[in-house]
Amino acid sequence: MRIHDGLLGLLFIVLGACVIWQAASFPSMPGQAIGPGTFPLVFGVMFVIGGAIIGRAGLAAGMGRLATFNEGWRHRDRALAAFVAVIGTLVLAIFFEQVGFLIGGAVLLIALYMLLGHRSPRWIVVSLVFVGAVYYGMAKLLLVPLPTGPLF
Amino acid sequence: MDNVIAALPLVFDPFTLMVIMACALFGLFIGAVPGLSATMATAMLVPITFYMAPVPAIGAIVTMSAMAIFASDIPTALIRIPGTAASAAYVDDLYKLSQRGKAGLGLGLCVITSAIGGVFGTLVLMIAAPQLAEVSLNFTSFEYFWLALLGLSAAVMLGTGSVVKSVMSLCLGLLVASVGLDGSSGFPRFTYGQESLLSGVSFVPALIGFFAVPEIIRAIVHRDKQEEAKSISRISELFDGLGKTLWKFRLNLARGSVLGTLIGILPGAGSDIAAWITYAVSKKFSKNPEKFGTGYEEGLVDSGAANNSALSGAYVPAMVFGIPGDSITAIVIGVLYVKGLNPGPMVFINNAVEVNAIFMVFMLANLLMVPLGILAIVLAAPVLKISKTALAPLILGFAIVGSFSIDISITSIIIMIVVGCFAYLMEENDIPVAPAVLGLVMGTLVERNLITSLIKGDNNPLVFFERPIAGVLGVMTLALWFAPLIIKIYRKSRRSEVTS
Repeated sequence: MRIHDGLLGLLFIVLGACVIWQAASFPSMPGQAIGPGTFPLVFGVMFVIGGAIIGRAGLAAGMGRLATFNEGWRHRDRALAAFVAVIGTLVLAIFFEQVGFLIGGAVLLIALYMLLGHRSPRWIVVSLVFVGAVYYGMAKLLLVPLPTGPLF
Repeated sequence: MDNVIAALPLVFDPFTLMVIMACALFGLFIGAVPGLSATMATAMLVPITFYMAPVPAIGAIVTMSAMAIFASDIPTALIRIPGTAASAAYVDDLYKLSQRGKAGLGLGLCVITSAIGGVFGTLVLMIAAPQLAEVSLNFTSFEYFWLALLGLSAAVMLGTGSVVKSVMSLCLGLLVASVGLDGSSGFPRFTYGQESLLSGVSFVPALIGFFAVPEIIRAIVHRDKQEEAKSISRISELFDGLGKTLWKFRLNLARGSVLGTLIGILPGAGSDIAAWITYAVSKKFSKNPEKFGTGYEEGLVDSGAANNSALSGAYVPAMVFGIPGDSITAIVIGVLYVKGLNPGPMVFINNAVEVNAIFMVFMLANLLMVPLGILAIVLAAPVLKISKTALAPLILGFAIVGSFSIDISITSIIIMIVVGCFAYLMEENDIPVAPAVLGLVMGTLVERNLITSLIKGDNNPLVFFERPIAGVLGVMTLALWFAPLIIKIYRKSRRSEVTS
C-alpha cells in the first residue's frame, strides 16, 4: 500500500507532536535541566521537521489518491491470504496457551497453503511434518516450553 | 598466542563444527532462493543461537551470512534474479556471461573472489580490531557519543533512497528503543501502563518482524515468477579459464578486497553498498568501461571480492565499539550481549579466548566456501525451482516459534507481527528499514552517552569538542551532515555565475 507523501508527512508531524508532548511531561533529573524527556524531544522535533519536508514535497508533486494498492493486492485470494497470515498470527498469539503450537500452527499453515492455491494433500503433509519437526526441535531438543494446548 | 591455542578446542569442538556445517548449508539455501535475504535468515537463526555457547552461536551467524552472500550469485547467474541485494550490482555481467555459455566461469569467479575477499576481511578484522580496541580503552562518553552518531549518520547518508525518509526510519527506531524504563532516571517512557513494556520492546522479535514479515507478505501478495534455470553439469566448467582471468584482474581482486573491507568497517554500510561502490570504482578506472554490463569479468571480480570482505569488515566496529557495521552485525551485537561477550574494548581482554575462536570461525567459514560453494553451484537447479510463495507459510511458522522462544511470552509474537506490518508499509513507501534497526540497536548507547556527557559538561555543548579524538569525530559527523548541502549551494552559485 503506497501512501501519498503529503499524508505520510502529516502522519510524521502528528507522531512528532505526540512524542514532544509526551517528552515535555517527563520530569527532569534532580538538579539538572535534562532528563528522560531530553532525547525523545530531539527525535520528536526531527519527526516534525522531516514530516514537513516529506509532506511539502508530496504536495508539490500534486494531489493524487491518498493511498494506492499495488497490483498484487487487487487479487482477492492473495489479499485474503496476507490478511489471514497477519490476523491468524495475532489470534494464534492470543490463544497460544489454549490452542497450543501443534494444533494452532498446523491450522494456520494449512489454511495459508489452501489460500495460496497449494491444495494437494502433499501440502497438508508438509504443514504437519514442519510443525511436528519444529515442535520436536524447539520443545524437546532446545527445551523451549512451547504450549501443547489440549493435546498432551 | 596462548589465547589462540586455547581457542582451538572451542572451534574444533564436534558440536561447533556440526553447527558451522549445518549453517553453511542453510546459508547456501537462503542465498540461492531469490528474495530470501541473509539478514532475514540471521534474524531467524537468533532464537536457536540463544540456546548455544557463544562460539557456536556467533559461528552459526558468521557462516550462514558468508555463505548466503556468496550463494546469492547463483540465481543471479542462472536466472538473472539476485539472491540478495549484495549481488545486484553485477547482475548484468554475470547473467550475460551465462548467456554466452560461460556460467561456469562467472560462478567460478564468484566463489573464488568471495573466498579471497572474505579471508582478506577476516585478516583485517584479526589485526585491526585488537589494535583499535587498545586505542579505544581511553575513550570516554564524548568519543562514544560521536562514534555512535557518526555510525547512525553514515547509515542514513550512505543508504539507498531519500535521506529524509531514512532519517524518519532512524527516528522510528530511536522511538522504539526509548520505550521502557529510562536508563539514567528509571522513569517509564511510552509504556502506557503496560508492565510488559517496562523492560522495553524485545529486540529479537522486533528484528524478526523487521526482516521476515515483509518478505512473507511480499511472497504472498506479489508472487514470484518461476524461471527456467540453466544448470551446470560438470565441476570442470567452473575452472575453464578461471586462473587466467583471476591473474588478469589480480589488482582488481586486491582493490575490491581492500575497498570492501573499508566500506564494511564504515558503520551503516554493508555488503550491498560495498558491491555497488566497488563496481562503480572498477568501471571508472577500467581501460574498457564500455564493456561493463555486457558480460565482462572485471567488475565482477571487484564486487565479488568486496561484498564478502565487507561482511568481515563490518565486525570491526561491532566488536570494538559495539557499533554495527550493517544490519547483520546489528543483530550479532544483540547476540553478543546475551552471551555475556559485551562488545567493546574490554571484550578483547576479558574474553580473549572466545574472541580468537570467533576470528577462527570467520576464517573457517571463508575457506569452507570454496568446496561447499562448488557443491551448491552444481546442485543449484532444483533449489531455484522452489517457489518463495510456498516457503512463506513455513517462514511464518518459524517466526512465531522463534519470537515466542526468546521471552516465552505471547507479547513477543504480537510485537513481531505488528513491527513486521509496519516494516512492510515502510518499505512499500520507500522508507528503508535498516536505519530503524540501527536506531533500535544504538538508541540506548547514543542516549546514555549524550546524557552522561551533558551532565559532565554542565550542559555546555562545546565540551563535546574539547578532547582531540572527540573533536575530530564531531567535525567528521558535522561534515557528513552539512557537506552535501554546502556542495549543492556551491554548485548552484557556480552555475549562476556561468549563466551570467
